[in-house]
Amino acid sequence: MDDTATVPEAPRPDRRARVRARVVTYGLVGVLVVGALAKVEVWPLTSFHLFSAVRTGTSVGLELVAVADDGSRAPVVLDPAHPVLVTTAHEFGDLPGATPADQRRMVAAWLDAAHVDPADVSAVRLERVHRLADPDGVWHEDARELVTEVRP
Amino acid sequence: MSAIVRGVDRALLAAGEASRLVEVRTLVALVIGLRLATRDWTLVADRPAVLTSNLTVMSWLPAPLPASVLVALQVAGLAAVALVVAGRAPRAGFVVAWSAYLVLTALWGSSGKVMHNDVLTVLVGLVLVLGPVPPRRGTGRVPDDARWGWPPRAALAVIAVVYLFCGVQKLRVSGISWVTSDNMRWVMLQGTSPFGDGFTHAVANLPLLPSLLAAGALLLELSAPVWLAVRVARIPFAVSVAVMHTSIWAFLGLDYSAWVLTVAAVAVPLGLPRGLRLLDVRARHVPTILGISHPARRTGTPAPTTVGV
Repeated sequence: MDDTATVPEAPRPDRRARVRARVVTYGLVGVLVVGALAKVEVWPLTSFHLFSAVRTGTSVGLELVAVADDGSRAPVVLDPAHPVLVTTAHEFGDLPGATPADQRRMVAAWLDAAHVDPADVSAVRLERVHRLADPDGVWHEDARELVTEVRP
Repeated sequence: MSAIVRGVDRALLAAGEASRLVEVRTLVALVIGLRLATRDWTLVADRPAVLTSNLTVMSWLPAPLPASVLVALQVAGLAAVALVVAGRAPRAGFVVAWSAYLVLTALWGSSGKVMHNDVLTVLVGLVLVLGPVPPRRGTGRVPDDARWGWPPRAALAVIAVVYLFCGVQKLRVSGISWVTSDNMRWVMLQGTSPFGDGFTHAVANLPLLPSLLAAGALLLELSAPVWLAVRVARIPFAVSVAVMHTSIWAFLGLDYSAWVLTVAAVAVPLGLPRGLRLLDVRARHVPTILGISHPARRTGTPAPTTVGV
């Protein structure tokens, strides 16, 4: 843990100080190790999976698409200038499992975050998009499938 | 094995300088203050309850909290940081600053995915919350003691474990192909560089370089405990971490500046030789940078010789 020098031995710390030091240090390190090995994700306790999976030239993502009465489609793009709302895109995958009432509330919130008037939208589709990269690393859409559809 | 454990325990409990602990607490408080000051926390109030995830230890809080509460937390946290830096009420100040930071960053990150940007600062701050605080300045030189030595070392241990497991999880999930495959090239090509796609594509498509970058990052993470165990390697580790996270920002646009600053706040003071101060926090109200302290001359008594941090 530390470099040491040839010096006279320091006074032995009192028992309470030793116990406190050990409980905090080994306790916190132990919790971090167990949390990481058990894949616990209760922030700030996390399993520290940062880019741990191998990326390839294929990718799969979820997208919301707003469909108007005339059938025209437009992607629901959450405001990139709003760092809190834009990250709620990570919750797109929760939409199919939500209750119908929550699905409508979630879709309404995302339309609002994308500055889209719900009056102009007849349905919001959650779609799974498969992409492939060409040899130069430019991504192209390969396939798209409907996951669920919500009427706001 | 038991000899190693005993050695680690002895190193943890060795006496340390009170002024070094004050330096680390002050610098980590400044990192917390910087994070508190540079975000518009009221944005959290725009996220409706239905889009607020239960991913954090703060998920019991009602959502959304009003903007006025968020601003009050920010102001309280910043005032508390000022108290720590000024040496007034350093214990209460640090607890309030860390608590405000914990709540605000937990709320900020409750959007469907665990956010790691502030995790290291929160965990290192927790060590310092739970550790003792040296007496206030003006009470003469505080003798070296195990009470002042273990909190900075525990902070080093937390940093070492966090970086180690960032590397271990890469090996557990992907194995060595995390380095040897085209993984890093594709990571870069899926990122959003602040310098534009042209920059990322140019680097990603160079032969070997992406794999070399991946190897360097993985080696740095896995060897963190070794770097941090040796005093003279701590500052080089802080520099290496800064280089790695700056490259991640340049290629992917991800901001891990809090990790860089937290590592620096702990590893740089603990990488200095005994007696060399990064901040002269003991004798003056306004910290000065990198001064040699002469405790014997100031107090008129010889400084005890102990195992230093």
